[in-house]
Amino acid sequence: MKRRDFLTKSMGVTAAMALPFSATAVSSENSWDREYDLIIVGSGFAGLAAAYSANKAGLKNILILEKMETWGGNSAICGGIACMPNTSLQKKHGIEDSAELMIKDMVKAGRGFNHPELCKTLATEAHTVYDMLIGCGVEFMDKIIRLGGHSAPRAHIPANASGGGIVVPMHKYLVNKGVQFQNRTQVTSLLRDKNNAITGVAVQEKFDFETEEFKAEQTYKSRHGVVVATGGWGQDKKFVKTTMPIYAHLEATAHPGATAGMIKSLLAVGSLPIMLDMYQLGPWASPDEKGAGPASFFADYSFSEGIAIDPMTGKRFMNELADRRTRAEAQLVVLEKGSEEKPNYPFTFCSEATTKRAEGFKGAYRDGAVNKSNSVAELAKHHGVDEAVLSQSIADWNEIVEGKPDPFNKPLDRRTELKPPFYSLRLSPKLHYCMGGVAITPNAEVIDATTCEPIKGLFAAGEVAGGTHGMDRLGGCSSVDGLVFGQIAGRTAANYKANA
Amino acid sequence: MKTSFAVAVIATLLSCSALAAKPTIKQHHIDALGDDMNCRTCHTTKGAFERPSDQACIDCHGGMHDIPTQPNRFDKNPHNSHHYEDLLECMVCHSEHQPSKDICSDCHKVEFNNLK
Ligand SMILES: Cc1cc2nc3c(=O)[nH]c(=O)nc-3n(C[C@H](O)[C@H](O)[C@H](O)COP(=O)(O)OP(=O)(O)OC[C@H]3O[C@@H](n4cnc5c(N)ncnc54)[C@H](O)[C@@H]3O)c2cc1C
Repeated sequence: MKRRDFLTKSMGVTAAMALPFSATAVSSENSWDREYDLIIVGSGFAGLAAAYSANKAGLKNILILEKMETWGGNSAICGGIACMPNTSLQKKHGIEDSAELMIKDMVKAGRGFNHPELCKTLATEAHTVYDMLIGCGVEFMDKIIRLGGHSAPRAHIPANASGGGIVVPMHKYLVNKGVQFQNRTQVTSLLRDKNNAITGVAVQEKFDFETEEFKAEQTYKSRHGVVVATGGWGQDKKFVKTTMPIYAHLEATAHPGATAGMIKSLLAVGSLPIMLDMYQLGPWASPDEKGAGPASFFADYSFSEGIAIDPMTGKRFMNELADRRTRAEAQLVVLEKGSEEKPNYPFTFCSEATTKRAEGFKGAYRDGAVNKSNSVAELAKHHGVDEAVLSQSIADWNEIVEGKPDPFNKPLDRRTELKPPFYSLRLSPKLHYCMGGVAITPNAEVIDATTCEPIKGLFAAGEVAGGTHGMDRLGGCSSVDGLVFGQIAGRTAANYKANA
Repeated sequence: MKTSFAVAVIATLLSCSALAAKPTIKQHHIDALGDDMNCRTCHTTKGAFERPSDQACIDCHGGMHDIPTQPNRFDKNPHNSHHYEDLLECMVCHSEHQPSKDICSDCHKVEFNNLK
């Protein structure tokens, strides 16, 4: 479009009709502005892991393109929690787990819609990710926690409780290995040769995300095909509204650059889309902070050791450690009982002992998302609940802590009595993850919609690829998804030879 | 709106012409450098004007580790943040010809009284 403006303005309309840049453009071998062994689009978990394995496989001239000024997309702003069975750290903590158990959990959360081979690949290769990260200098906390829907504690947390704790060491490791990083460069289309193999990309250089201005349009050749690792599109209001209208009003947790440009480019070259209308809602999200910040991190602990209450009834309404879809849907039912004037936000709360363990608590409390109540009466007043019923709900929960069966069947790894002071957080689901994407093979090859066979030279990994998690994914599985399939994409690309 | 290359070129030409208002320089730079400060102090590329590279800032100020953020109410430390450590370019937050804008506030509550 911009190219068209340029051509129209500078050369007149006739020239503009012979557009070199369109989604289906056939690239001429001689017209490249630059050439690389491998181009990877996106600098998050998937892109970094692809560069890691491509470099290990011996590729030299590797370029990672990033359209934003900042590096790492959602991967840098995320919690960095990674659920990996069978790591040395998990074994050290004496936790019994297996890839098979994780697959079972993922399929349950995904409502059986998971692509079995992808799901299996993620679970069985997850432990290799741990080794890769340690090799890149990533540090993890010396503990393993359990997230909702997981039947074993298998969540590893970076030492600084942020995805940055993974992205930054990997980025620096790769720079040391000679991998080139170029930001403010937006890939606008995938270019292919006359045999329909992907051979490079068209880019806008010095791209400014805010103004959408750029300095130049160029074409880059990539000898080993192109790895697309551009993540989700949660902030693309129009694309979300068009694919899933009822979620259009929800706040999204994603970074501003999570827009749909690249999924559109993938579709334009004939990639097979799957589940593009499926989105995950985050059940730990709060109306009292932006996106998913410290309060969401805190919520995971409050869910695990405390309880969640429907203000209207004063009672628990869900297994606080169920999978995300189950919890988000239960919360939406609670929310729907309220009105704009009198909202009915469900809330979760826990005892002080729990807050001592919870990453995110300090920030969330300081910033006002988490509230302290010194008595049941105060807690009831703060959330507009009947004090007597709330008291009863707390007493009921404390009996479960003592060993009585829980009607909601929540797994209890740590038994903590609920007693004042309480720390509480209001809940309201936010749009968190794009379940859908392009279809890939277990080798991270993108599948062609017309043939259901791989498109030559096109690889995708991470959130932009669909299927692994089915209808909904478990917490701490997206980081691992990007890292596992990123590694695979880099390897597959290294083995791929154009024109072979 | 997206702007084409041609439009951008015209805009650049205009902004460099004598008619266009001279871009403002921040007081702390004027205080420190006075007449020694000119466009090329920061825009170090030969030929066409480019957005300054990090190096132009670092040559005078040192890297992020040399410039710790002052203690603040929300315990934020953008020069050594959990998300980016020292990976980002200075220009992501700092501007010379317009107010600087911390990217922390895209997601967090922050307060930097000394953001230059
Ligand atoms: C707040 C938050 C917390 C989360 N916490 C966790 C967690 O603790 N554990 C977990 O497993 N998952 C978590 N997730 C999900 C997880 O972070 C993401 O799904 C994952 O990081 C996606 O990785 P990716 O590499 O696929 O994409 P990203 O990390 O999003 O990287 C994609 C990059 O591609 C760039 N890009 C896009 N289009 C173009 C283009 N056309 N040209 C050039 N570049 C382009 C983007 O700007 C971006 O930088 C969280 C998500 C959020 C938003």
